[in-house]
Amino acid sequence: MNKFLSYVGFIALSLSAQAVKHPGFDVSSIKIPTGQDPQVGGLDIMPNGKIVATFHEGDVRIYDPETKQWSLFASGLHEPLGLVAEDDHTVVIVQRPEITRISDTDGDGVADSYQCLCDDFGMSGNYHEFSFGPARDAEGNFYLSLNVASNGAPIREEIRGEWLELGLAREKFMVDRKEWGAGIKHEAGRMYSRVPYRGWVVKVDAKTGEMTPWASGFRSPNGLGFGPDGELYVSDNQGDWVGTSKLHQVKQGNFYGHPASLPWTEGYEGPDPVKADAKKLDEIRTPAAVWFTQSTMANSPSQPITIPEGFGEFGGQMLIGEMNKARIIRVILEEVNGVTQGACTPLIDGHGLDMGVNRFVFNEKNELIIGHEHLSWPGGEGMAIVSPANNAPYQDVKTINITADGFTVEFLQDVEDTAELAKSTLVRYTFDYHHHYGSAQRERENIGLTFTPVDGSKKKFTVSLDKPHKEDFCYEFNITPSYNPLLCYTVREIPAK
Amino acid sequence: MRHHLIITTIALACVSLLQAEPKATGRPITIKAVDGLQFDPPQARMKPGQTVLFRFLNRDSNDMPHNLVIIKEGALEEIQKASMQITPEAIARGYVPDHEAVIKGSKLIKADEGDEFYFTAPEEKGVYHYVCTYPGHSSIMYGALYVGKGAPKLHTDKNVPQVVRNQALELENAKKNVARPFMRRYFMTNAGPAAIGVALPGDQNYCWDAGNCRLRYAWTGDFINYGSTSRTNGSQQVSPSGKVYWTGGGDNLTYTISTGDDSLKPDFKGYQLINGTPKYTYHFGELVVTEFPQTQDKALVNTISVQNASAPIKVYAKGNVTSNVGTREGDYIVVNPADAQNIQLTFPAQ
Repeated sequence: MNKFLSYVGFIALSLSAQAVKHPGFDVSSIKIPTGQDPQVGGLDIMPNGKIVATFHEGDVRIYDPETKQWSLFASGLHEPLGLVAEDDHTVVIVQRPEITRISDTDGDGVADSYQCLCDDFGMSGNYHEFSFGPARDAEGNFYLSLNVASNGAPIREEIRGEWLELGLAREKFMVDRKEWGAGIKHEAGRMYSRVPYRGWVVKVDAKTGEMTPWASGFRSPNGLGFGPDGELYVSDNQGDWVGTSKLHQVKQGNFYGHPASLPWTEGYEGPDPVKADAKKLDEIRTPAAVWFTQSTMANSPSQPITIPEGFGEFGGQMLIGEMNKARIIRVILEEVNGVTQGACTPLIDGHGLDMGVNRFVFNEKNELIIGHEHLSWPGGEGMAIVSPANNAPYQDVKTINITADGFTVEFLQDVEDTAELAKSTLVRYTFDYHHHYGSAQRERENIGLTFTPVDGSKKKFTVSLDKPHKEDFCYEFNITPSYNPLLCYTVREIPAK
Repeated sequence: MRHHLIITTIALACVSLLQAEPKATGRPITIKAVDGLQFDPPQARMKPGQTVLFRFLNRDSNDMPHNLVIIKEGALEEIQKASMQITPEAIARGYVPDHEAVIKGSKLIKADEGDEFYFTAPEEKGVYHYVCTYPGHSSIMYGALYVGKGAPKLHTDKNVPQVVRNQALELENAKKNVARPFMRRYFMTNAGPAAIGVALPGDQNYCWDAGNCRLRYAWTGDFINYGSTSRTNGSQQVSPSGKVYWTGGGDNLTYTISTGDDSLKPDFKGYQLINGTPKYTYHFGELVVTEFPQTQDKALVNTISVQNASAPIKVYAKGNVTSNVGTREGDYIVVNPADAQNIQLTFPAQ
């Protein structure tokens, strides 16, 4: 085989050896009709079991899993990036300018009513002001996240909504791209929010369309979902003020770290966010429940979703997509001293999956439907299904909990080879909170660890450490018997003894 | 001192990573085998000497095995011939031909499985091919890898199979010549960011702005070519392909309706599709307004209905726009409440 690799002038490097099939889950694809951009911005299952999806070119299409046929339901939308099916004839989608309820009122299978539920937020015309969501709460109300603008481009001459008179003057934005790129862009802030509620999560009443600004401090929150605890979770992407990508548990009134959004807080009297002081902001921000270490775990996490019972043994945990790798990440949360924190570990990693894992929905067979997207960033296209059908036993960490001086870990299968388990390693590090783009791993140190069976169990072990716990550190394990050895636990709180 | 230790640790970690896998110097490239013996995408680009992770996925719903073999420039025909051999040796090699023109071959991959490998592009600029060498596939199943060169538009690219070119041409034409009526919301030139573009029967087109709830401009002829907006981040502003014959002017504080109360702003409520054509609804203070632009006798006619009017209202009608009711006052038509439920503004195309 290696003779293929050695031609003069060509350096073809060796195949990365990886098992293609996942032992516990099958990955297959759903064929998308040709003739359109196959990027999926939103996904849901209708009560009748059909899959409904939004596409990059503004269409909403319905897929019948029985006949494997697609039909066009709605079209003409402006970059729809999320959708919820209210019934078999009605979907609520989020597109750039608004959240819209789209219905087929005459029963011909094609939507005829496009009701603007809410458009009470601003648009500067900057490409980066994506609108994400909706996540629907138990009462049926909707949560959207509104991306901030990027200084990769200025704004447009006409905007929608109020202009924030704080920071770089509006006319300074009215320059051609060359002049903008040559220097003015740096005065705008890496990411900016100059029209209302950019960088916020907002709540929209399902009946009245009334909007409530819910929480601030987001940068590029491409993913909202409710957790097993009934709380709202929102992901955010590494960049300025975001040392590494993360998942937040989101509560009303909280600030989650990116200051561009702050001036839209009622009664705000603070400085231009470009001049914000990290120390002061650190006192008011709510840190993430889970960090996704850049490069190692994820670069651009997307939608979180709660796992139903019957999807492996992971019911009640969460999954989150990743755009830059062919990876789906499992999230294991717990509450410690009233604070939600937890672990993340790859579930599917390659295994025939494409990158750009953007949107999720589970069908009634507990199969995970995936919509891929890239929007010209690293990512993928099309749709896939991850099925637990073969449910073959394999070894992985089922769950992990923090203790006063270590962790407890429970495996899916008995650990027969404890010598192998003893080879596991642990390193911990933290991240800076600052206006720079991303953060290096700080104060990185190796931790010695010892596994001890709990009450003679072969599945459950306590993990004792050779150093005391540290708050606000990411603990990166390499657990050798696991099929996915990489597991990171974000320590915010340490339980009492 | 402590910092040095940390840096050393990180450096060591990096070195061990390097040994594990080659360092990519570009974004990963995903290429899928799809139905109809095709690669998607049929074109890929790399810089000379660049190393990327190639991800090859078999997404052929007809359950056929495929591979992806990258070959030297100009060797397509030879490899197509070489791939027809079905010998025990060829099978053992996953049908990658034992040929000097093969630079890199993936494993033979079953449907819904994949393979990954790092590939370093040749230093020589050129058009290389990636081919499925499973017997019988290579005559139409190949794509073009442009190294250090820009790829031409797909429908003109002689380095991809004819069938791929034809499909691309069809798509290009479909995007240009839309089936009317058709509408699409997108960033549009000379309008606010919540713009709506509509192609009506009779080659009439208009831009309606859902931000300030008014018609912005109208044109005849081709609609908008959205072809260039595929697979982008959506930053582009699109513009009319045909001839603009009416432009409303004004700014983002100019609305269709004016009551003299400058504090009022329209509140967009959405639209109904009537025979595929949108009829817009918005609130303007107490007023409930609908606008329904349609083609009538080769002209664009916007039928405006204002409910709850108790005093005369002004309707924006700049230029040579005519109205079935009211009297002109500058850029506006003044309409009595009794006539406000059926105002027809006609925008004559020259």
